[in-house]
Amino acid sequence: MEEHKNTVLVIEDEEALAKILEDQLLLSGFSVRCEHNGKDGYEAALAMKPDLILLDLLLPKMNGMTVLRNLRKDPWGKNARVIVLTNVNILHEIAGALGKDEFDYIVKSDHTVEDIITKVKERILSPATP
Amino acid sequence: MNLLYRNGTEKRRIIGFILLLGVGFFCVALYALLAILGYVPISWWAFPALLAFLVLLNLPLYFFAFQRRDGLAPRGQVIFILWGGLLIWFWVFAPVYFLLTINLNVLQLHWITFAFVWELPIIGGLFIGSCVLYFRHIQQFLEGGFSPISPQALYRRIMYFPLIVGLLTAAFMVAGYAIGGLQLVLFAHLPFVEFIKVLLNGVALSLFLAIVYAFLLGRVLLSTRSRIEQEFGLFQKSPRLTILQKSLITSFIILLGSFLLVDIIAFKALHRVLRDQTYARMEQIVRREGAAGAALGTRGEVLMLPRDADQLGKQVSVETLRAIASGERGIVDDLTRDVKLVAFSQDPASGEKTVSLVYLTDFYRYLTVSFFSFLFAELFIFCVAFGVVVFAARSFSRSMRVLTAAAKKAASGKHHPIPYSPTGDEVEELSHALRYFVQRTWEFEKRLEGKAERVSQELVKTEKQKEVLIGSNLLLEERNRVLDEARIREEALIESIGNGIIVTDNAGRVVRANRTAEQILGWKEHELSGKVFANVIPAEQYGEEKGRPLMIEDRPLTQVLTSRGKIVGRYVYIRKNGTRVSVEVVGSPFMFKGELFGAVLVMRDLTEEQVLDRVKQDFVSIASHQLRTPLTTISWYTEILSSASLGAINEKQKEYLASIYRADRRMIQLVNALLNVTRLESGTFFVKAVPVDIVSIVRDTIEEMKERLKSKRLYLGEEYEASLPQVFMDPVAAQIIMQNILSNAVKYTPDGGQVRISILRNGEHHVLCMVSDSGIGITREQQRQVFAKFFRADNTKEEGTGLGLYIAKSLIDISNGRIWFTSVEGKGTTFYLELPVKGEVEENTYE
Repeated sequence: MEEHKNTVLVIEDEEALAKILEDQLLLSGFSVRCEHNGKDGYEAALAMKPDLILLDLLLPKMNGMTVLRNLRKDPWGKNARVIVLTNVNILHEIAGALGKDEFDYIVKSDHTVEDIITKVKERILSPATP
Repeated sequence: MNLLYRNGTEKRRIIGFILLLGVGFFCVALYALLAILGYVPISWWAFPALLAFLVLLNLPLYFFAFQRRDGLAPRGQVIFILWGGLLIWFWVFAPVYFLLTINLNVLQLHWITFAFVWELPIIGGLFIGSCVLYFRHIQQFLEGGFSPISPQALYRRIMYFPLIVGLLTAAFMVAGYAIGGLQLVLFAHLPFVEFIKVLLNGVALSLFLAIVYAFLLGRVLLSTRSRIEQEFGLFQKSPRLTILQKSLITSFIILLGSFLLVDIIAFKALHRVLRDQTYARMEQIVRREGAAGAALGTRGEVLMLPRDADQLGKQVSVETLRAIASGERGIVDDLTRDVKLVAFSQDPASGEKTVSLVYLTDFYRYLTVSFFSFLFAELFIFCVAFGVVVFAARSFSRSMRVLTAAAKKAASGKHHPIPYSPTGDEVEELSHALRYFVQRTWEFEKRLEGKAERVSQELVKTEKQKEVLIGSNLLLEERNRVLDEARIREEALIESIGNGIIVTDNAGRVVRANRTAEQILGWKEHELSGKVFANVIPAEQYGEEKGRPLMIEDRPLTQVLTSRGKIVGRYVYIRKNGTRVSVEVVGSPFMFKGELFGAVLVMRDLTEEQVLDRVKQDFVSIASHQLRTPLTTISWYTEILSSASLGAINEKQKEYLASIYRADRRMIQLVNALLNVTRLESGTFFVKAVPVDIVSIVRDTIEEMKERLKSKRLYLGEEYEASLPQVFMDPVAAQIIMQNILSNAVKYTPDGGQVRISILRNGEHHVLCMVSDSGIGITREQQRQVFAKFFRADNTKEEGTGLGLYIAKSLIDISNGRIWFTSVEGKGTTFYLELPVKGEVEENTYE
């Protein structure tokens, strides 16, 4: 099962936050890749087709919402598991932007790293979104 | 002739007539002259016949004048009247009377014929000329409408004209008779007695003619007089003669003239008797003893022929001499130098003729007794007659006077009945007519008075109204001026105001659109004017990316006009060029005395505001991101370090890391709260109400607090009514509210205390959420400040931002909910949250 590690793509421009998430996810046995801007993240997502994407919203080059919207247009991407990381309670704005898309979201400042790892684990074990 | 006619067209004919007259006159005069010289005879018939011929000559002239009487100048009328009078009087009546009263011999008859023929044109001409001369000012006035003398003088002239003419008539006639008589005396040896008679004749006849003239000319000038009265306001200012006076004067003069004429005839009759008696006596004497004894009277003398032939020739006429010569004896009348009878007889022996002259005037003294007794009787008759005339005239005129006085009173305006005058003549008819007329006039006046009263009342009213109107006119002018000023001010205001203003009538037709409205909507005022606003400019729902058209009943103008109330809302209008513009509209109806006249829409362009909102929102997002990212980094790294997953740490290190972590958490909460407040206050906290399951939100919040509840050993009681309706509010707002309320309850309840949550339905439209704790409570003094920003209670040392309840209250307010609390210090607090089930405002911003 070592070859079958679940892969997580972290798209987060704050390198310190990306690093600790990467470290903790690796410790939890995930295969992790980090990207620090939306454009690279979007390309990486389409290239490696990860099991889950942790997506920050405020990103350089292409913001998180655009990344998500573009992903949903992709045949693979429309069912990809995404957890949105935010810093602000702007849920309805995201909802308005994405329509009925299903995704989890986490307010970074309100959650611990442990919370996030737990959430990732829960999501990956659950069946992919239809 | 211009003398007679106003224009000169009749001149030639008039001259023809005058020439005819002149020729006729000349012929008659020549005949009379020739008769005097003895070439042609004149008999007692020839004399009047000649004069009548002259009168006849005038007839065509009068016929002509009568036909053209309208063109006759006033002067012409006067001349025709005067001349006509003279003609009739002196060529018809006077000669006849002359022959009846005056004793004339043949010579005298010749002369009298001659005198009548020449005197009338000459003296009559002078008379008429004098009258016309007096008349000239009146004539000038009548012809040219002006008077060379003062109106008063002119009026007097007209008034006195008949009198003057009468006096002139008398003067000229008496003069004429005097001249004629003197002629006879000088050339025809007219006896002095007869001369006196001639003069008396003239006087008596002139009186009649003067009266006739006065009346006729008075009538001719009647209209002129009244015209002058009217033109110069001289009415009733001049002396007048009453009917009584007129009739008395007239009667007196006529009586006087008549008696005078009768006297002359009486004298003539007495003279005849005297002559006949004397003649009879003389005849007896002559028959008995010859003519010598017949020289009667004091001056009677006997002349012997042929011895005294010369003397006789001087004393008797040719006819007498001829009679003496032709007969043996006889008696003849002789009128040479005196009135006498001449008796003659021839002595058959000697052939001498004895002629005795008897002066009849010697016997006149015998006549005087009977004449004076006659005169006395005549005077008596005159007095009686005049007395009767006075009585009759007075009685005639009395009824007239009474009528006149009554009519004057009636005319003065008072109701004065006209007395009945039973005179049995025209006056009676007049009185009847006048009575009837006055009565009718009075009744009419009564009716008129009633009407006039009403009319005057109306008039007074009208006057008052007029005054009021004038007053109100001034008021109106003032008001208009004020209104104009106000209008100009308003116009300037409307045009300069930064908001778009659309004014419509009550049918939604645009009446006014200001410049800002033009800029916002992209339509010019003249394009909108008179059109229904909703038909020209489509509106959409605000805040939706795909414009949802507003139904007509949802449009702000429709709402204002139907509800007649003020509305505030945000809408999107489609511009003329198709672009959209978001506006905030404040719509108000304008009404007057309950009647809806129209509506005013004040619109604010939200485009700039939206840009600003975006900027603000971006700032908040970025600020929150930038602030929270390092705080999150600290939080996460401290968490991992203290979890000891990277290696063991000692207790002291663990304690320090925990302090860092707690401080970081507080910082994050403070930043979150500050950001929420900033967004609330800057209006960038957009809420979108949707049906929300409030219980699940409460449960989520409790879930998040489980750790703290456990550590503080708090008892949590939950009580949710079954089948609660979903509340209608923004889920994030609901979450923040519940977090704040619940965290406060947990925070301010001491360890081992209890927190209870119950949610139940509260009426049709609300859900009531009660959160009670057994905490420290809020002091009574501070209860009012609980929802204030940065409020911190004094009775606690718990950490807090002082913003939680402020944020919760603000969010509940914009969610159309209510929040209140009850608290007893030291025992606990209960917060009540009333949340809407069905939202009235779907979306709004908190401002």
